[in-house]
Amino acid sequence: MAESFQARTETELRRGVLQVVVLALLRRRTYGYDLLRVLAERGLATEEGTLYPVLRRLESEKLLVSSWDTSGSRPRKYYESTDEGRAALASLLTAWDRVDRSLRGACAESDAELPPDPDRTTPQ
Amino acid sequence: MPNSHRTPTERLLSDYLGRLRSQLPVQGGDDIRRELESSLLDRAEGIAAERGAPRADAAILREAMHEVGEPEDVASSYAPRGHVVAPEHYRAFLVWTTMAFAVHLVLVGVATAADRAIHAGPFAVSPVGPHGFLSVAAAAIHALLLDVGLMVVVFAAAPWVRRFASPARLSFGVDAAPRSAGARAVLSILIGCILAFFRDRLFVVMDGPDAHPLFTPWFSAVLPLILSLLAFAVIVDALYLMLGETKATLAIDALHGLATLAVMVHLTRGEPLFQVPVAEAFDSFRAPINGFLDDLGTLVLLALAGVAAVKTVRRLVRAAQV
Repeated sequence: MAESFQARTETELRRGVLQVVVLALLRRRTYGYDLLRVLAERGLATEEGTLYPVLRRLESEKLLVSSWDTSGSRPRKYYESTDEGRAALASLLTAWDRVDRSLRGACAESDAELPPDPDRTTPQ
Repeated sequence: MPNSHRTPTERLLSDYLGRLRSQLPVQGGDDIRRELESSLLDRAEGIAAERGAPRADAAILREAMHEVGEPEDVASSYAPRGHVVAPEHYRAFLVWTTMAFAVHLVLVGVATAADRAIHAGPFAVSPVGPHGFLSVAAAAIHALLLDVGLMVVVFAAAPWVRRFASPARLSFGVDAAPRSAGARAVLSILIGCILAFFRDRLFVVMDGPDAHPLFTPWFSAVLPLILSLLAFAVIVDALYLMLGETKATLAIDALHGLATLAVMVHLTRGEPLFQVPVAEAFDSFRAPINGFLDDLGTLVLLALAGVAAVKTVRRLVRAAQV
């Protein structure tokens, strides 16, 4: 069955925002499966096949660092954002703000109904 | 560990990871497999904890694998996203393929009109066969496949050729890079010294005491021409170093390009520059081997002539801009 326009667009939106959310969550050191669990709790459920390539790509661009921790019950690969990653996150959130304002402005002009502006804490 | 000593859970996991690893890129594949194994086991433990099960058995592991996805699908998300011809070069690829195809068709027409094949080094364009429309269609398809294949090789295997072949670069507005003039001068001197020194000193020793010179008498005859060309190049580079890019230095460089073009074309019309002697036992291969090497040498000389022609035009355009 063909995916509806809404479903497709929502998937693309989630995919686009995933890297930003990952950079935000990885200000705290964590491992892949834990990140999957947190994303699911935040309404951005994704799969290993989607998340892990994103993590590798961000790491190749020096926005994240990874290390294996073999001290637990099984080896786990931990990720944490770098200074460049935190700077990239701040820049992306600014860009997101701009896009959000443009969208709300365009919808206000056309009298389209939008949900109220959600509270968002600015990253330190 | 042999499969017979493994538990069903271990066998299940091993099979899954084996299928996964076989599809992953060679570089970094082990690290990816290790990470996915850890994640899979964490997921299975999470399911077991939700159900109150003491541990993740084969059924729970199978469920976790189903949630993660088929190993082939997971591995495909790690596949490198490369292209034989990059999307940003599609237009240039189409333009150059169309031009090559058009030229090829014209050559087929000329060969057909002259009722003989046209030879250019190792390449030959044959006339259309005697079977009317079918022969014409076959010749056109053959030409198209050859030109598409040739352009794919050019665009995929040689990034610098790809930059040259892009229509956007046809403005030839590139500077003469006088900063590298010193290195080029040194290289020209080095090449000249090597050619002059080894002219009569390179031999191929076959069976018995006879030693055959690698370079032919024709090479010895044209060597002064090649050395003068190299000396000219050194003078041009020295001018770049002293005066930088000016109309005068660029014009002299363009002149050098013309001289190079003329010399390269002249060399293609002469005898082979070198020959490889063949042992008596393989005497029947002598002509084909040396013929092939001669054609290869002609191709290289034609390529150098082409490069010289382009260089000449670029220097003249740049001279007009300076």
